[in-house]
Amino acid sequence: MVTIVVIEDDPLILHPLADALREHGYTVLTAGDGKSGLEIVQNRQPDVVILDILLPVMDGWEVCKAIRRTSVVPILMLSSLNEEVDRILGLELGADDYLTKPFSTRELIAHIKALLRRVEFSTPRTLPNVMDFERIRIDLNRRVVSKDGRELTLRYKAFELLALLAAHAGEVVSRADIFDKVWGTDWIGDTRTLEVHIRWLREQLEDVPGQPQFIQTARSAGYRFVGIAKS
Amino acid sequence: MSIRTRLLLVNIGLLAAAFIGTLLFAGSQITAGLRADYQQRLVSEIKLIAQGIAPTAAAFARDETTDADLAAAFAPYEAQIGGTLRLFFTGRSIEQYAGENTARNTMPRPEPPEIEAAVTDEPIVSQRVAKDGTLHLFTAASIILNGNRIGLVQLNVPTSTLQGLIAQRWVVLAAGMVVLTGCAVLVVVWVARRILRSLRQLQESATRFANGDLDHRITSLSGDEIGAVARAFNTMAERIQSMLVAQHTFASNTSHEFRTPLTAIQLRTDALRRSPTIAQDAAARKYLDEIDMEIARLTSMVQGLTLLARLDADRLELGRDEVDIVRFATALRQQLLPQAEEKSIRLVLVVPDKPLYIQVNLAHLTLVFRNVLDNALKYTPGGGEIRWTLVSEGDTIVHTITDTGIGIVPEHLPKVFDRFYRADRARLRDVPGSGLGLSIVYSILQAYGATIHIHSSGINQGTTVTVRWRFQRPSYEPFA
Repeated sequence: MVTIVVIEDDPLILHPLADALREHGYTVLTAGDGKSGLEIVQNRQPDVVILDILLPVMDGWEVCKAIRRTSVVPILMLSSLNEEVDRILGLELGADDYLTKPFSTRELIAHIKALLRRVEFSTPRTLPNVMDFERIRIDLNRRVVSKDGRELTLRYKAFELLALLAAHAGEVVSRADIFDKVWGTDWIGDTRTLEVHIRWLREQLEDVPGQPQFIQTARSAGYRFVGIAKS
Repeated sequence: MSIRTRLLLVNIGLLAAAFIGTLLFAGSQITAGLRADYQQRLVSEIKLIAQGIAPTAAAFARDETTDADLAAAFAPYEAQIGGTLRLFFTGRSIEQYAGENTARNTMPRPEPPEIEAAVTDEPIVSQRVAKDGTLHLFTAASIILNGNRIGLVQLNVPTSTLQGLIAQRWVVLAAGMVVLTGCAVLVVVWVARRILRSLRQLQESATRFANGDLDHRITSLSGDEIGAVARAFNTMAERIQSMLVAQHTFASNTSHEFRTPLTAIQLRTDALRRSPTIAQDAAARKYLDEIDMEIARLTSMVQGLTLLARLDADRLELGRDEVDIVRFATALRQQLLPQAEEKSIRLVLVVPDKPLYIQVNLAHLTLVFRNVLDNALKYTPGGGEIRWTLVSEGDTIVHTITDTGIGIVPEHLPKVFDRFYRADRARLRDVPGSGLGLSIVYSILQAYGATIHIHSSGINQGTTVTVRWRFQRPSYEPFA
């Protein structure tokens, strides 16, 4: 049962949006301003947060930052502005995705599905539920990554990304494949999202993020996870 | 000629003229003074000499001394003054005189002026050409002994002595003037540089502002005329910046104002489409599809208008996101399929099987290709085909969108990118649109360094649109 919190101050948009999501089978909780929205997110721990930028009391940027202090829940920001600056700011502050108004319900659902998507591995049966490497341990069931025994907090998509790369440890996974598997084939967006996620991963995972040891870039090909498997 | 040159030429010219004038005037005054002094001195000397040689002259007149003795008596005086002395005797006859000191010659007629003056006891100095051809100064005085005039003594000196003195003075004067002029010129140059530097700063500030630094103002404001211009510049800059900011804000605000109701409508048509009764109602579904198209068109127009405003204000922010154009084209075609199927138009997309990345703002990209494809759909009659081919040629991606539509008359081809241009108003009155589309497309592509060409062989011969867009190797190390 997937729960979505929608924080949008214009009822003209909030109501049909919430209805549409419910008709697709999601449980929807709504808030008309930033502050109450934040409270609901903190109390109810939803699976996805849809957040408008222009909100009364506390604007979308502030809500996003506040949520990020305690949670890695995927956040999709809605906006009337399509300024380059705003989109980058959104990603930097912690949004996982950004959708410009007007959008169709179809687009919205596609983006939500992309956010919630669990990476499908080609051979799920033979894949263990835990991937154990020197220093790094990825628990697919509990969705937990630990490094040197210490648990890391990874964002939703970042975890998916790591899991995909680790499942192909040593091999280069192309960017196109990463998009298809982690975000979905019907997701249209820019590659900056991928860059930002790779950076987040490195900041969490690497000893020195500037000199990546585990997540390596393979020029003009894609990315590769380097880890020595413990048998 | 630049102001600098003019300023310097005029100033230095005037200075030079003034100084030379002063030099000449002062010089002539000094010369006159020197001459007067010299003549005065000669007169004093001759009087003293007349007194001093009186006894010797008397003795000579009585033939008690020889010519040589007389010459010896004259010698010290001559040496001191640098001239020549002569005796003239009165008494027996003025005609007799001791010329060249000792020879006895006749007084020349008429009598020279200084000789006349000597007889009247008021010596003067006169200047004339002597026997050797050069100019000399002559003066004479009476020799008085025991109250009687016994003769005259005449002195002549070459003017070269005096000229020498005068020349010396001129040299000193001229040297002084040169130094003064030099200093004055330096001061002029320095002042000119100060003024011109302020002017140049003004120029640099204006250029900076014109090149886009809208926050720039002139900070060092002097109290003079240039300072006044600087202040006026700052005021103007302030106005222009507010205007551009207002234009930009207006564009953003307008965009925002339209997007909210558009979203509200879109969500509701989506909701209606989900309703079971409507799902079975073909007419209703058709209307909903058409409403979708119109919403898309309105969205496009809103984006277009705000973009136009920003392009006009030169404030378009180019996007730097890397978008896979192949993926994008596939998605866009998918979105337009219902519209195409409406008119039974085949919408074909031919793409390479690997991703191709370009750096662009996704909305700008959508606007460009949506516009081109909308046009193709508009102007292609039912049953036709629109083919979109994407290939990479070297470092450029080439899009070719060909339709089997009504084409464009060749004379109109150069004008299709003009604002509000509609090829044939009468013919196309059924086709909605503002005519802005292609001008926006052109401006956006130009901003990204891409090109677009439209070709058509004529009416009903279809149209081909070619877009060339250079793509970059994806930047894998964004933080390198």
